[in-house]
Amino acid sequence: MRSILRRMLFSIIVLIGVTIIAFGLLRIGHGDPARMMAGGMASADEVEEYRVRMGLNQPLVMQYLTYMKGILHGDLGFSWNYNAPVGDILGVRILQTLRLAGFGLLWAFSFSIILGIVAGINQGTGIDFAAILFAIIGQSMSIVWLGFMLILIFGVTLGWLPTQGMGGFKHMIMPGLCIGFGVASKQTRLMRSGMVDVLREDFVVATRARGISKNKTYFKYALKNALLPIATNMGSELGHMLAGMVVVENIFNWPGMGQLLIQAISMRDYQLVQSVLLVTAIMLVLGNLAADIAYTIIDPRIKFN
Amino acid sequence: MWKSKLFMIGASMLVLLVLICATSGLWIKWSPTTSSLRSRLIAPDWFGNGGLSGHPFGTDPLGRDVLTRLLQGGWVSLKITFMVTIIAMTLGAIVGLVSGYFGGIIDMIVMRISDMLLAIPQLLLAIVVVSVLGPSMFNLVFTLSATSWVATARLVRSVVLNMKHQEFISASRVLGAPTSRIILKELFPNTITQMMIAASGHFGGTILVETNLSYLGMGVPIPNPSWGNLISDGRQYIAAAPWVVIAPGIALMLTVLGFNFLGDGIRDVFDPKNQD
Amino acid sequence: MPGTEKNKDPGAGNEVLLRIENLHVEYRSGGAIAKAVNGVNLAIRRGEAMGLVGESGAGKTTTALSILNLLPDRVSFVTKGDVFFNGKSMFTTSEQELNSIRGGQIGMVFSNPLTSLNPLYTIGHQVAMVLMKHKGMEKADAYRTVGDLLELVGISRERINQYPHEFSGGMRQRVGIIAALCCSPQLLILDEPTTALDVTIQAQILEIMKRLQAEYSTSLLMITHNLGIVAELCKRVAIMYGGEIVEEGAVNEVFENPKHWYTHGLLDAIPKLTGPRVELKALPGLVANAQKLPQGCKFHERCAHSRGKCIESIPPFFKISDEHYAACWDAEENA
Repeated sequence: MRSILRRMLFSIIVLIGVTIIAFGLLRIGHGDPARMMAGGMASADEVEEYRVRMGLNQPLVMQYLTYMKGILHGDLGFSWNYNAPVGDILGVRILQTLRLAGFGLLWAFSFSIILGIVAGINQGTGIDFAAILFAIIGQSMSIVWLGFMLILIFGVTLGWLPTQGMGGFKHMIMPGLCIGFGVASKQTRLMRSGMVDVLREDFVVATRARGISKNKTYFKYALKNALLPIATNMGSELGHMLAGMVVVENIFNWPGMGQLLIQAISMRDYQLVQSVLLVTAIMLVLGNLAADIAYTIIDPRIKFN
Repeated sequence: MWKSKLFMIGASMLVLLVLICATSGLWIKWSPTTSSLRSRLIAPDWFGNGGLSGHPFGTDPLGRDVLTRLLQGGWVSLKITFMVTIIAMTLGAIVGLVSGYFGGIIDMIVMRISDMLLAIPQLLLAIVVVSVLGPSMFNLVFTLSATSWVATARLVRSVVLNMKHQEFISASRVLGAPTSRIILKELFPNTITQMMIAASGHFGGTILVETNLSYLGMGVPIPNPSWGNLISDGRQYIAAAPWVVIAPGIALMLTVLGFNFLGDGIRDVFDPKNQD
Repeated sequence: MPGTEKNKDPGAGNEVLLRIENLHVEYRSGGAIAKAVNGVNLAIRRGEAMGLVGESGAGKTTTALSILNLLPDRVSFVTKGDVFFNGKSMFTTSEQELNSIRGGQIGMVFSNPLTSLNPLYTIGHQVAMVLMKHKGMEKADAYRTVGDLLELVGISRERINQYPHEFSGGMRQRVGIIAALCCSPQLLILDEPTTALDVTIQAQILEIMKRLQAEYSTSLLMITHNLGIVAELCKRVAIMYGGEIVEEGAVNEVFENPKHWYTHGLLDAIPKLTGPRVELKALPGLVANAQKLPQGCKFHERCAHSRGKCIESIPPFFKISDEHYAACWDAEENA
């Protein structure tokens, strides 16, 4: 228990660090948001006006502290580009991204667990070979390419699925398939080798020597052992998915956080970008934390202090 | 290492690819960057129309020969990936060795900083950095290196932590060996196997991230070719001219496959516990 | 040399419970073939305690797993022979019936207590499931019985819902024993049950075994490389080398009058507490490699008395007495 609290504390420190990094990154290099907002034709005075209004004339430390103070009150800043509080803009977008990510994780894990188990039990057979092939190819594919191939096959050639934007469930299928593919292939491999390892353990033979049928031994007793590490991977895979989101949302025109980030960064919409990075980091950190906690709960060998 | 079939397959794939891409400048017939609106979106003729003087893989929306851009772009991507991997892993190894061996407050600081960097997915961080620095080859290599050294540092650190307490290190210390000698001559060589496996993964991962960045317009600056750029070029015309998008994707997949086989091959040979 | 006192002998003259006939087992993997068991013949009577002695790699565990038909899929092959339990072949019986024999009529205790229990289930569950499967008990009854059994082997019944990692190796082995015995099997196979434990625990476990055998008159197959345990617990002993039984007979006869040079070597290697100090005689060389077995008598390379005949042909079993057989050309004279 104590170690979990310690992890939480560190996580907060890490998140603060993330805000500093995000804040700092945006201010280096070129690109003046005040000039962008004022417009190409604006005079120096007008740009200066904008600068004051946007709070950019303050010393950097002040700007940072103002931003942080805002966060403590639940205010993620103001977007110059959209002329609205960041929180409002982000709210909807986060939901869309999470919907897609959730769908992706769901199908990816369901699929990989089943395939991995069957492959592990039937090591060396055709299905095992297929599973390994799927795992290898999936890990070597570019998401971008996969997205377009899906569009080509299911959207253009077969015309079954819509290729752009959001709508009903049909709109979620291809992007969801795309975003989950990497996770599915990686987890298939892990599940398979986990199952193979467990089946080699002494207690599996011992369980059968006590008269328990092969099916029950494999699918109840061995499976639980193999499933243990996988169940906790869900939390850490979220992070990888969030990265892929940027590209997938672009390809399928899905209005989530990834799209938002790209638009915002090109406009140097500082506070929006900072908050997107922060929110992403929070999700990633929470995901990892959840995975650790899950492990602590499921595995009886880890004691509560 | 030669005994592993996987390793040999991966190595041959990669050697072939690198050779073709690297030498392509010498024998291609077309320019990778000059547009020719007259030759827009010609379908592939598969070496039928005069071999390389034709368009074996077709042309892109700006009339440029796809095969040429594929090979030249491949070389660009491979060069970038190679540089990034070397820089990132060297940096990561140094940090990992120092952090792991000295422990204490240095280690704690390094770990926290790496946690912070890891909390933001690499692609997102790279997008922000490239955006503020501006698109250029140098910035690309810099960004990719800066966002990927952490994994190597963590790996090397954990290997060092494992070895630190082993007897052969204590023995060296008792015999009066200077710290730098211990790090360089004893700890580092033991990390090499792990690093080799990690390197193949690093190559594969980096080239995929570079492709993503280039696709988004934040990687290799246009009109230079890169597999990511090619895919984004063909995006609008996927229905009419799918070959523009299909070709780079396949090349990319074969490359990453090659790296993965290489890594798996090394792992098979050096890690006896691993029997897949 | 201890072991000459009379062991409880309820088995003499009873019918044969287990018969292993000319068993040959091979392991094949990636081109390599390991001949683990090469023509083993063994019979255990009802109520009889048989010791199976040999060094690691002699094929003892393979033999044990063959009895239960639990050799690993895909890598192991029974190339010849059969195993009969109560007259029925274990290789042609249906899986369903095998499942009721395993744990119900034949129990097995494994050598490594740290790995033979599932870490994710309580010990109560793991023993209760055996009771529920074979005796059709309800959960509550099963758990109550498990509690009784735990007390029998000296573990507090309060600990029934604890996990294996919360117990020491010796205690886990005791749990393994009650799991094997809870349904009163006719045959109990123990594969090196005390090897992973220290001597004091070993003694405790042996005591438990003796008590249980006396109470339930279970047949015992005690696989071990420790001759002392055999002397304490068993009436008959079979010595195994290179996948074959090289000597077999009543414990006191074999130990007092060994006829195979391997048996000689094993007995000589035991340090003596009494008598004049002599140099320990270890057996030279290494255990026969199942992938590269020698020609003729498998022991000839390590035997100080080997001669031409030993390399040419495998010696058959020579009868030394009604209760004593040995497969050695030197035993031929006495036959």
